[in-house]
Amino acid sequence: MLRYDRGTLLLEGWPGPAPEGFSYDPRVDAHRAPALLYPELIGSLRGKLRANQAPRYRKLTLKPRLALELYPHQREALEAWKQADQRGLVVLPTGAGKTLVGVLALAHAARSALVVVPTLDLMHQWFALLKAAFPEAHLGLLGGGYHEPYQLCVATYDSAARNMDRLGNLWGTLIFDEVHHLPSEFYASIAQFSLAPYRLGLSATPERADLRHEWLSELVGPVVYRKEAVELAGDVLAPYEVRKVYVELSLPEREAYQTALDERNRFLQAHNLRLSSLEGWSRFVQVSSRSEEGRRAMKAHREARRIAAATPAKLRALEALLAAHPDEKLVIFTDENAMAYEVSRSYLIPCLTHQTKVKERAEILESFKSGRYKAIVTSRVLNEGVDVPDASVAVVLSGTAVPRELVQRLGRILRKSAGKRAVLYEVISRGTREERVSERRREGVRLEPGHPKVQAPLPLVAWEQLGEE
Amino acid sequence: MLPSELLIYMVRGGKALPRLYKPDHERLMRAQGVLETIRRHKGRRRGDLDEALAALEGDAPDYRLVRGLAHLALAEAHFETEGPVMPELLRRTAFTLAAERGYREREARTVLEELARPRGVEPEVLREQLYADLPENEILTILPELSAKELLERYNLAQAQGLLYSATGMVIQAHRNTTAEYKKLFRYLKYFGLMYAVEGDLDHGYRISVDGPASLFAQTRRYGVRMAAFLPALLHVTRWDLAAELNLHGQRVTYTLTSQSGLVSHYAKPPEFDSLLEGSFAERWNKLETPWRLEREVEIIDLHGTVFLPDFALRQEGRTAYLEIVGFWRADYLERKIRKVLKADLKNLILAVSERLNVGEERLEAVPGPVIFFKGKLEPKAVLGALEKIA
Repeated sequence: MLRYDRGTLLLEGWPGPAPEGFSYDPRVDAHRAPALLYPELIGSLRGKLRANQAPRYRKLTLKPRLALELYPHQREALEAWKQADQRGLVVLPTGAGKTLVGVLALAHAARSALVVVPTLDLMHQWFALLKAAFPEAHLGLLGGGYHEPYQLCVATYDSAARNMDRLGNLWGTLIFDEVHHLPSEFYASIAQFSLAPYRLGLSATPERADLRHEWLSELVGPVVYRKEAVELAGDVLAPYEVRKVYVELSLPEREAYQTALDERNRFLQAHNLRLSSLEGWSRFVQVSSRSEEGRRAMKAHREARRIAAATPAKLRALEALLAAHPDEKLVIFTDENAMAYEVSRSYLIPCLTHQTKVKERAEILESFKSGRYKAIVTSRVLNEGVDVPDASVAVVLSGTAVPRELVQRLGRILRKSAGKRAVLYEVISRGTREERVSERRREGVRLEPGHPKVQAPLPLVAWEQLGEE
Repeated sequence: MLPSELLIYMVRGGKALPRLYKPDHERLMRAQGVLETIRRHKGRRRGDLDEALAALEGDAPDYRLVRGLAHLALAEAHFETEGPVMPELLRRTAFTLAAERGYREREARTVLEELARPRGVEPEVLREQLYADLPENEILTILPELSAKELLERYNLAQAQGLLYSATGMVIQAHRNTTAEYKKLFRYLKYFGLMYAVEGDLDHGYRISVDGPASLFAQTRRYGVRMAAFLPALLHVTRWDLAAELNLHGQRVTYTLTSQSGLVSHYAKPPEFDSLLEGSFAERWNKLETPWRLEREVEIIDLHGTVFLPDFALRQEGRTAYLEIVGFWRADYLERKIRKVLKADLKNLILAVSERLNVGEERLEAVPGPVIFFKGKLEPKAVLGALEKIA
């Protein structure tokens, strides 16, 4: 008999040596195989099993009730996935309608299914979409306080990873939204402990700095379809530009910045450390925690970063940008929550962070959609996936050097509508580390060809003047 | 338990050692300092408390001690939102007005003034109250009920647990523990979704290898957190050694602990006996004149995937019999128990079954050892009678 046992397949009462793909498990005197291999293994076992109790997933009729008008790239993506035995990754830029490809894949597979997403916002967004698309299906949520492992279920990576060894045989289809999250030791078990034959991964940027994306072909499947933002810009996505806006620190800020930087650099020199690589950075983290001077150096580093990121000059630049786009919808991004709340308190702009409760988030996004609010400020929650329809201006007040973050933030404003031109402003403190950070995140992104282009920085003085009342 | 970044350990000669602190004056004062700082902030903002705790850390390199103590103490505290206004409502009103007027600092001030006037507060106060419901603005209402000594014990336990996050497997050597202790041990292993294999015998001790189902295919740290959560349960067992295999940042090291490590569990202590029935039987047996000694240190019988632990062993001069008492249980439990007894296939096992269970004799026909039925309490004499049959 074959059954599912906590993320594995267990073959009991099998006469003779272990069949291909199984290993003998002396702990239980039976043969065991990874659940992930179920589709491969079941073929050779067919007809030889007394009973197969492993899969609990069911056939479902899933006919989307939404009027779906497909772009060519969406149709091609779905076709490519079907051709590849319904296993693989579809890579499309944010705003190009990845979610719709997911809905069609669910319908095509016609099996009970689990959709895995990185954030609670995305969980609720997928839930609403699935409810609209498949109103008859038994829908459930896993995560954010819900435990509803029903036939169509949306889960966060966290909850799915925690529960998969008990639930891994319930679903025949797995969809991983923002699939670049999957290849970590803990999250990978979602894919490993499931026996689902149908697997689809969605992402705009599956590549990871640690190269673990190579693991995805084993966990989900190979890249079956890929289109970059530049290939779709103007066609499916709105044309866009990225502009830099420089601000100048005040004299006291500059002095404080320099003092903090000097303190940090003295420590770096004394310990022969360089921050130019990821390795150098983790050495700094390690070494600095071992002494009082080290800890002060780390605090100084953070202080320097904070001064550059949160200078009031940026708030003045923001006010100028708000004034320059009075009739458009803006999304403002910050690196840290404190700055997002600062913006919110200063201009009375609604703020979304991971601390915002689910109901209020939904209400803020709804009011933004309806036009009651014309701007929102967020730290990182809108980096991924959440729809902010018809926003056309993004202001990055502070960010990291990670290219994916820039692509994702840009993606928030790229949904096409008639006559729309999107613009993303990077607000950068001149003469600080932020200049390098901006360069680093741009290096990984193809911004130039076709419509999109990087404009020359705007003259500094103009912003300063606009900022003074 | 503690987050990984607050763990402190050393690796020497392929062995990992957690940083465990003796409850000396200095450490107790640190724990006391953390507790007092928290106590002083009763009724105040979490943000203020966090700042005070950061100040307590200072720049000293052992900041992780203070931070870890605070983490564990605050897990036992409670915070609540306080304030006269409903922040969410206030935000909605203010954000709607500001969007109508246009986003300018000056307009924002006007909006706040308009909203503040009827409420009789300063506009800047209202600005602060916009986010009174953020965690940092919550008020500390319930203090942790821990002494400095208890807090330090929790800290040491959490450090010892933390190394197990990186465990790919562990081996427990157990010697002469009681049935009730072993039962609890295996119940916890099962509860945490862990797997085990048992080797050895009563005289030489048992070797219990612990990992998870998927450990068969590759070394994985997937079950490490569960092994860590299991540790406090193991501490209630009297005599054991533990050796865990760790994968620490790609380095393979071993990590050992023993029942003498001085760690203190905060899990509920298991009862001495598994049921009242067993307790009262043991009492009556001890009043009996017989060469058979009733012992609670029993053999572990590995049934591949589960174990069978008889309630008692009966011994005299090289002879051993087991006794399993089946009292008042639900029907499904009884079924499982009978299946276990059949699988264990022990000719020297006496099965004592309560008549209240309504088990037909035919269901127990295949049991290889003697079966006794009893009404109310189990009489030692009946067991003695059954012992004769085995001999």
